[in-house]
Amino acid sequence: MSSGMSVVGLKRKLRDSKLWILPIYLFLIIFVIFPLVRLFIDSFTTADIQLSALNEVALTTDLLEEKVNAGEMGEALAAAHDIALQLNRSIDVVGQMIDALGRATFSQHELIAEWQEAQDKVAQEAAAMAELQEDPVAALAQARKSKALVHEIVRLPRRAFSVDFFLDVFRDRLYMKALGNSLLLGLATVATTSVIGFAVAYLLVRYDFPGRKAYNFLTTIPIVMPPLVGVLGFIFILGRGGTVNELFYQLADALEKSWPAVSNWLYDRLPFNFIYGWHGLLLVETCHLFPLITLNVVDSLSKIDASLEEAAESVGSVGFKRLFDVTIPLTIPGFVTGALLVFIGAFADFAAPMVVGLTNFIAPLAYMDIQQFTDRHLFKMGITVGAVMVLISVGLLLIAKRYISLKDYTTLSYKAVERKPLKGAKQAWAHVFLILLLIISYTPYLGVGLASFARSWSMSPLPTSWTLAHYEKILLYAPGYIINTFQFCILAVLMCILIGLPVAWVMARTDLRSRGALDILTTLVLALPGTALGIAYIRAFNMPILFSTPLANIWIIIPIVLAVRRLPYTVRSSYGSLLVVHRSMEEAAQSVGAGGLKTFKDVTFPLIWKGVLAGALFSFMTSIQESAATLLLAIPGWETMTVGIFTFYTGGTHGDAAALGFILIVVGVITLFVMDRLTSATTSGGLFG
Amino acid sequence: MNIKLIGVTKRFKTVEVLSNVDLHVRDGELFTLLGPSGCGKTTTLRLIAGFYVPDEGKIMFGEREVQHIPTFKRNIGMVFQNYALWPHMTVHRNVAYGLQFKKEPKAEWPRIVNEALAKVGLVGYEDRYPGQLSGGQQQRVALARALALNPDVLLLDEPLSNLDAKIRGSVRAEIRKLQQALGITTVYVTHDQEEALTLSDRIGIMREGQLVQIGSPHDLYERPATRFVADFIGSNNLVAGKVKATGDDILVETELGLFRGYTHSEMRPGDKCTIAFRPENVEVGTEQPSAEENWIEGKISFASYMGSTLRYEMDHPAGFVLKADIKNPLHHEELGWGSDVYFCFPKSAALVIAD
Repeated sequence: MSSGMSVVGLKRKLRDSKLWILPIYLFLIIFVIFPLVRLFIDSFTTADIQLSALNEVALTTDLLEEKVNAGEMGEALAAAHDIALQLNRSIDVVGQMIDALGRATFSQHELIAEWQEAQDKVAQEAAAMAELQEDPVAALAQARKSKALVHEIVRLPRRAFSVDFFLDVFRDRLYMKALGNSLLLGLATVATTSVIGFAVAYLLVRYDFPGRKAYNFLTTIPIVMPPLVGVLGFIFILGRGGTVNELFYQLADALEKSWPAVSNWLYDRLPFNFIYGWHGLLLVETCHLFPLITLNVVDSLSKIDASLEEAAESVGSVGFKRLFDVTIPLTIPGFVTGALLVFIGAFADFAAPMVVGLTNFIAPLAYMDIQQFTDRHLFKMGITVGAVMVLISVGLLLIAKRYISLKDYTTLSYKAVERKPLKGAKQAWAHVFLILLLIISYTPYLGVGLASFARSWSMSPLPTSWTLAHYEKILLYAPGYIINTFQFCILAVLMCILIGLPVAWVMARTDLRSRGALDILTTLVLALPGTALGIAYIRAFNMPILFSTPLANIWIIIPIVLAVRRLPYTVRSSYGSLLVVHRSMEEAAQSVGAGGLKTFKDVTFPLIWKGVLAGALFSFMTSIQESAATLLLAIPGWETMTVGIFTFYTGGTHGDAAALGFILIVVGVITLFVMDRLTSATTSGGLFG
Repeated sequence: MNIKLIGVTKRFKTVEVLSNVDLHVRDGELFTLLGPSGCGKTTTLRLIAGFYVPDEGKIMFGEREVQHIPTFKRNIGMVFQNYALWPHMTVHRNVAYGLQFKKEPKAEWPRIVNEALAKVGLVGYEDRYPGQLSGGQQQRVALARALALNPDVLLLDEPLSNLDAKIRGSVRAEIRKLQQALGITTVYVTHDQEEALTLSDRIGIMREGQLVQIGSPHDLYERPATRFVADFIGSNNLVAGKVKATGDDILVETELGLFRGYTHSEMRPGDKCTIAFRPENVEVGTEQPSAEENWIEGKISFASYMGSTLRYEMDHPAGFVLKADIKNPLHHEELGWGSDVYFCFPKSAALVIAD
């Protein structure tokens, strides 16, 4: 009896300790916390000194060797002279390195001594080289020695911790200007999307007019469209040779005889630059991101109790006064959530600025620094920029979360404000506004669709002949992009569910102390820019652990990064579904004898699967569009569709890029439709729960 | 300021929620609209407030016709069921917010706010946010906000329904005292008859969009004009019957026998009627009373002890459940379920109501 009891007791203990959750924590630690920590360690530990002078010594030695072999002694002497100069400069560079190491927070005597020694040797070499300026052959022998030394020095350890190393990025004018630009772009986008997003939300929530439901659906679509495709689409329609400019050319043509003045005026100014530059960038970001504001404000706005506005009216506050004193302040919590996501979205986007020809933004700079890997200095800057982006996003997230928790206006029960019918001229204006907005927002998709079927499309508003060749190419000759995307994304979604559902369960159903940490972690991931996460992954998984190849070079890294990026959606939706299933339902199952797993299978799961699946589909839909992390982590032979679009576009085959993009759009819309069907009464917004 | 509703009808789409309502609220009185949910009492209040416009009829504030005047020009103060305090404003700002529209000079605001908060005993809470206050305090801020504007009319929409039962009583008394002290015309909506009886100068009972009876709490309890009012206010035994004879007493023939009663309305033999007698006027005995009295014979089917009273229920084979209350059951020996008893009630307690 007693031994039986103890076995039961042990079983119970095992169950209560929830050991099965450990692998999930391990996953989160390895793939969320470790890369971020690594990113910060790297940005704080590498001294940022350009060692190019040393490399030049090696290069010029090769040149000297060539010249000596060719018998061009005059030029060989010149090279030897250069080497002497470069060696002298190297002394300074190594000196700077020593200074930099001297700035390290913890003293680095040994490391400094090594560099000191290196500096002495370089000085000797420089002196020896100076002696041998008459004899190219002797100089070559000496230079070979120098080259060997330089190689040795370049490989010397230079890792030391210092806040200064991190702060280097803030001393660099170029990066500061870029950071300023990116912050400004973020703020400007928040401003434009706020005006548009709020106006749309107010119309949709407070007024009734024909087509309201259709507008409701259509105005959310832009956010689920791949941003990269959006930019391309804008260029097809609004670019210098795009549809709109071609139409203007035709207009100018047509007016040449009847109205020459206007015609000439047009010719002087055409093509209009709609897209290249700040204004285009702002347009692209606004059209893509405004639904984030709409969704969140709709959520807040529809939860305002009618009596709050009636109370305002009863004391005399009406119209705009009431709108600005009562209604808008009450939407602030939802608005802040939306604005934060908009800000991070615009601030960390690197594809759009690059496509419209602006590179002095922080994200494109980081992308180029990391991707092109031209020298250590830039690579180091890329890493630091990644860390700065994480810091800014997370900082803003924390501020926003704190602000929102202070302003919790939610009430348990509320009576929604009744929709007012919109009639006559006011209704007409609403239609004009919404249709115009939709036309502008859908322009890119139209452009991509047209371009994907176009055989030739230049010097004309619309393509002049049509073809399926782009699709043929994509589907028959390079199907890898599509196959990879689907494989990776399905895998990512499975990971999302496998990890997200237990995480949600822990948050909703247990009182483990790690609940708070899980909540913070999943929210944090939501705010992490893809660019920053991509950079962190490159740094964290670039050395071989367990496998002979570094993880960053194995395809599995892509589904993993996608799963991590989209994890918050699955967690949020599963958590929401779990909250709706009252705990007493599970307790009732247990009271009639069902065990824990059985209860989950028979009671909990049937009640939550729709919500979980909706979250998973949303994760899928947004995964196929991920461009930031996948572009950074792209592995040859394992490229996804977004990588393909970028490659085709930058390679000049716009039609193929468009075909891939259009497939992406179609898949996205189908997924959205299925999701809509699945959760006809799904709540949107409120991503912070 | 007195308020008049003259022939007011209100429809929502095709449903008529108020039909031809006439109502006169006298200057300075506390008038309560009482009725079950969906009877139109809140609609009536919102018509007075100006949130709705009547489809037919007139609403008068004094000599002024107001049915087409928007809420913010009617000079009303309103307290909402959920208080509707603006959560993003402090107590001070909540109370002061309306003053700007009354063109009160800004220098006066602190004094006015202070006076209003003093009336409800909340001075010192100016800088708190509504979320930091208890339900009762929020309720008082809502009242202060309504009073700060010195309104002609105070409108209260179930102001106590969100409060705990314990403090409901004290807030109720405060509202009544404040209303008396200020002498402000007040319209109060509730579904709680006890609240209505203790608070009101007069009560209007509503049912299905119509006012069924208007009167003082006494009138309504003692002289209900209809079977509905008799049933709705307090507890009552109601037995349908037919008038057999009139005179000093009215003789009513029912399924339970012949009863004597009194009436306030004109009755003729043969009229359908209902005889109503309250449980507290029923005597319970085990001996058969004299034939002169009203009595009903049956078995005790249920007894519930409520401390100050003991209520017996009798299931009569004819399908009636009759109630009798024993006041102060301290010295009463409780009868077991199934005991044979006689419910006896005097004719002076048997009100005959015309159907």
